[in-house]
Amino acid sequence: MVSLPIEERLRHYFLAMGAQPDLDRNSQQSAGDFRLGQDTLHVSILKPQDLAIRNRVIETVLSLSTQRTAQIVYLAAPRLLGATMDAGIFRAHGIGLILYDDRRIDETITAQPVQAVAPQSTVANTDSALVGEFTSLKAMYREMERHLAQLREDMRMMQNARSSEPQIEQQQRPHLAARETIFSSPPMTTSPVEPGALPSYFNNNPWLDVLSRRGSSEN
Amino acid sequence: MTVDTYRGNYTFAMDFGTSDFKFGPITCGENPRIVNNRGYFPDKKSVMYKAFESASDVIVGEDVPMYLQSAEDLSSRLVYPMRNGMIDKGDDQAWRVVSTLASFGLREFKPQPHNGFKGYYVVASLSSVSPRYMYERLMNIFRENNHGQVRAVTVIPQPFAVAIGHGVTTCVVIESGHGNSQVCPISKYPIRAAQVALNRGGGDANAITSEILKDSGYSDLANEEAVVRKVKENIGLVPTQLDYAMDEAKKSPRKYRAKYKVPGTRVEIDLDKDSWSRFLIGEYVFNPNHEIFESYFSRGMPRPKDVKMGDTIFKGMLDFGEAIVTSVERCPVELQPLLYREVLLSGGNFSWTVPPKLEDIAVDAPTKVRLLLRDQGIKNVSVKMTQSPQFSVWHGCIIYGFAVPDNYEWDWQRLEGWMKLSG
Repeated sequence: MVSLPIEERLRHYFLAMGAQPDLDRNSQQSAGDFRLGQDTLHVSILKPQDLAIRNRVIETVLSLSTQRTAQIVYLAAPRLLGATMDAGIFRAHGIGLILYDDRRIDETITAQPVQAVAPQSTVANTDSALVGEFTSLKAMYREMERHLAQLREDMRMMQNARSSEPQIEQQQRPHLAARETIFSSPPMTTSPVEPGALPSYFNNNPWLDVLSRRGSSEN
Repeated sequence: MTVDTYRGNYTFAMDFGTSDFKFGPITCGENPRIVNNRGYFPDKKSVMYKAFESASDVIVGEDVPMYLQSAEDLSSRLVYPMRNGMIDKGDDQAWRVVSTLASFGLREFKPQPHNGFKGYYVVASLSSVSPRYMYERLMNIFRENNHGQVRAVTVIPQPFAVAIGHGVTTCVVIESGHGNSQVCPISKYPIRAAQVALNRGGGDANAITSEILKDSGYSDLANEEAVVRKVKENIGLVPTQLDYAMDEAKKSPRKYRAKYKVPGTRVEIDLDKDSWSRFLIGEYVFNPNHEIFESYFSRGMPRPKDVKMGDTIFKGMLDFGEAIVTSVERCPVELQPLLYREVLLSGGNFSWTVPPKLEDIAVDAPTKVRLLLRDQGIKNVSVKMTQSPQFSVWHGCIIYGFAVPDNYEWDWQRLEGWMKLSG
């Protein structure tokens, strides 16, 4: 097979993902601009010879993280670079990482789409309609906060009411009633399962009954 | 039903699959975290490692690709411990990967301090053919690396977990992975004495795909495992009846033409007039006994052999219908009709689709198994794919950990119960 330049291979790669070349932007910048659905996608390519240039890698990453002109940005780098980079840096900035060599192109870290930075000129054109919209949004936000506070209060009252009749609850729905005692002190970094919101595979599962009898049937 | 309230938040499941490691506590809900079931042993002598790394001996999880070096190193340094569902007793490298993955899984869901946490109830699941030493070794891993994170641990076989996750208490589960397949009848307990293991899995379908690629002039691609797997998944079909399917495809090669373009490359595979061979890929998984496969065996493709691993003999050439019948007939006669009533297929090796307009000649996995059972004289069978093939084992483990009473202690005879580690 003929070995194509990396720019061309990446173009095929993104076309296969369903992206379209962004002709407007490509004419102004590099050939690494695409449109993926509604999003714009930019890929910066580091070549093997770039790795020998001092600070080239860090400059490229910094430029991708600070001057985001596309919603989705990728850094394509020789596979060799993979051993020296910390994935956390890319994830923290939502930058995708593609590692390549002569034979393969691997998307090691998927990019997180963000809102592209709008050009300064559009910021200057804020008109009164926009200001009005912001004001009404602010009012809606305050209203929503008030509702949330009300809901929290209602929920607290309901929990107090239910904990005062544990006997009845335990007879009717033993495993769920039991769970509720835990929720009064949410302990985990992962969010606890809400009462009655057990995963779907628990619904009508006969094994819950079968397994809960383990040990007792043998006796 | 009495349930330990504590386990409403602190049940943790780990599914050691052939390719993926699925893990997480009950609070994950429907979907666990997934990483590849593999570990990378970096070259500590390399300049790169010395210059930049202070990482551990074994790298697992999402960061593995960051450490990969040359392709030549992969075969020795990248270890998939459960590739065949079993790990040799003395394979320390593979056990180190399992140990690192288990610690990694628990570390990823470390609860906040001072919240009443006294350790997880961990349910790990292994292949049903895992010998006893694998249970012992896994238990030891949790015991030796326990820093108060595990209160009790248990290990259950994957087909048993599938049946639990699917909510069926009497059934036959067929789990087919990369290296082998297992037929396991369940009747409230796994019926271990009736298990049948096959030395055939997704890897064998890859092998015949590779031969087909060679025969069609794509020898350069036939050794690239990832490409071969993609070709298998995209052009392989399961025939209703192999002879009929081949005849039809030879008569109308355009209708059955098998073409596949590898994404991101210029490589396009077109079997053209040999497109009839796409039916061999699916047939070989379910039944490798057709005479046409002899020509591949005679040209060097390894015939699936009967092998003994641990205490289990893995049959090479048994078709799936015969395997199910053999397994069920080892159970009491009264139970047999109930077992045939529900046959569950689980594992990536059963993910076969039927392209539009080919419904008369190609079938999905449940239909093929039904046809093979019909050939064995078994009718009125219900064969289903598991509802969530990827996560059904993990779901089953969570339910098991949530429901089994805390005082049901581990027993080495029945291989069930809780092994208490702390608290």
